[in-house]
Amino acid sequence: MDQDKFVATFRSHLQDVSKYLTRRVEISNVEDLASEIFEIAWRKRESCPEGFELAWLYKIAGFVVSNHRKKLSRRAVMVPLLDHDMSAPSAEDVALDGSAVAEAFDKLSAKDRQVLSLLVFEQLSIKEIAVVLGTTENNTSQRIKRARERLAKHLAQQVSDTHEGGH
Amino acid sequence: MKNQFENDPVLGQLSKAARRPKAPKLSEDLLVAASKDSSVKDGKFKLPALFLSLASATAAVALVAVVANPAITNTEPFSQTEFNEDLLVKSGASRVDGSFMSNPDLPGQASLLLEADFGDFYANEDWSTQLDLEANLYFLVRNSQVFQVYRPIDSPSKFWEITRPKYIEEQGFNSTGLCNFALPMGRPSFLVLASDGGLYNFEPANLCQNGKLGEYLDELDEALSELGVKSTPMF
Repeated sequence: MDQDKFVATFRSHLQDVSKYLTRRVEISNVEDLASEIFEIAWRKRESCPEGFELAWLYKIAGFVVSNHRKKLSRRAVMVPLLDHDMSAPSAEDVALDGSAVAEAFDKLSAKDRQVLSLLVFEQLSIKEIAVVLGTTENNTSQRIKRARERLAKHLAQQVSDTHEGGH
Repeated sequence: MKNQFENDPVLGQLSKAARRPKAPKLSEDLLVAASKDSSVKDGKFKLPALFLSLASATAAVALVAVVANPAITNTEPFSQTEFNEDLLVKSGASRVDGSFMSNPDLPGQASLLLEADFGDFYANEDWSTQLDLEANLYFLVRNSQVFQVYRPIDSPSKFWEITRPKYIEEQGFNSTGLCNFALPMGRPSFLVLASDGGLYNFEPANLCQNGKLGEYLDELDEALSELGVKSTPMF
């Protein structure tokens, strides 16, 4: 892929990447991080799966955001990787306006928030999310299903708590 | 959201609750600028100078994270090679294909747990007392080769397959032999520092193509989560 094709391929995804970043980092950092994402994309362009360019970009973006957040953390490099996807947005990041939904979303693990964000906010297909996560469609569906169930459970709990609090 | 979750009321509620971000408009110049630098060879990143200087004492070094059982004796004919321990404690944050390795020069840093005739094993946390598993996360540091410990932990039954030396041999440590640039998010990773100074993610193409690697890592991840593991030792 030469430069012209690279630019042509990813031109339409510039704003998607901008939105992805805006949901996860300070707006003042969006352009710098986007530059980093596309620099990596250029270097790794030969491994970009055809037809899944945006998902591939989100995969890179996930690492870039994780690194960015780690840099901001005093305990940066001690952040464990298994249970924490550092790129997952919080309720505040995605500006959830319903308090019950926001609280329920924040109760989810980073892994759950990550997969739901890719589906609901980034509007990716199951297949695309599988590319981002480096797993299979079936596995991705299962992860979404479990995350959705946990979100529903937290939401129900919120409603129940609110109801009880009202009496 | 065109899938089985399309009309899901719970996810619909989540979608409606989120305000659309006012994302800054990015210029196409950003793409042009990003694609101007052709000095970096495709498929790998160069390590920071500090890391390379530390690595120079032992020339090529391979590094990999594995889940293993220390009690198991590996019968593979591994050869003993020199190893610079400084790599473990002073390497700092190294860029790894868009991600970072952790710096062990902090409390809980990696420590030598086991000396075996085929290599030294390092970890910064022992899970065996926390889990109903005879398992620990180990980091193997070896010269120009990556080794496995020939035993999976409990339920992730096929986890061992992805660390078998034969895959490394098959792939030959070159960029074209590796199918994926990225570390699996939120999961254990396998990293290889090759003799050219590039730090590669180790994902054998034969596993990536059918998604097996992701399945294995997910399997491991799920198993550990179900057992209540809240954090993973990394260095």
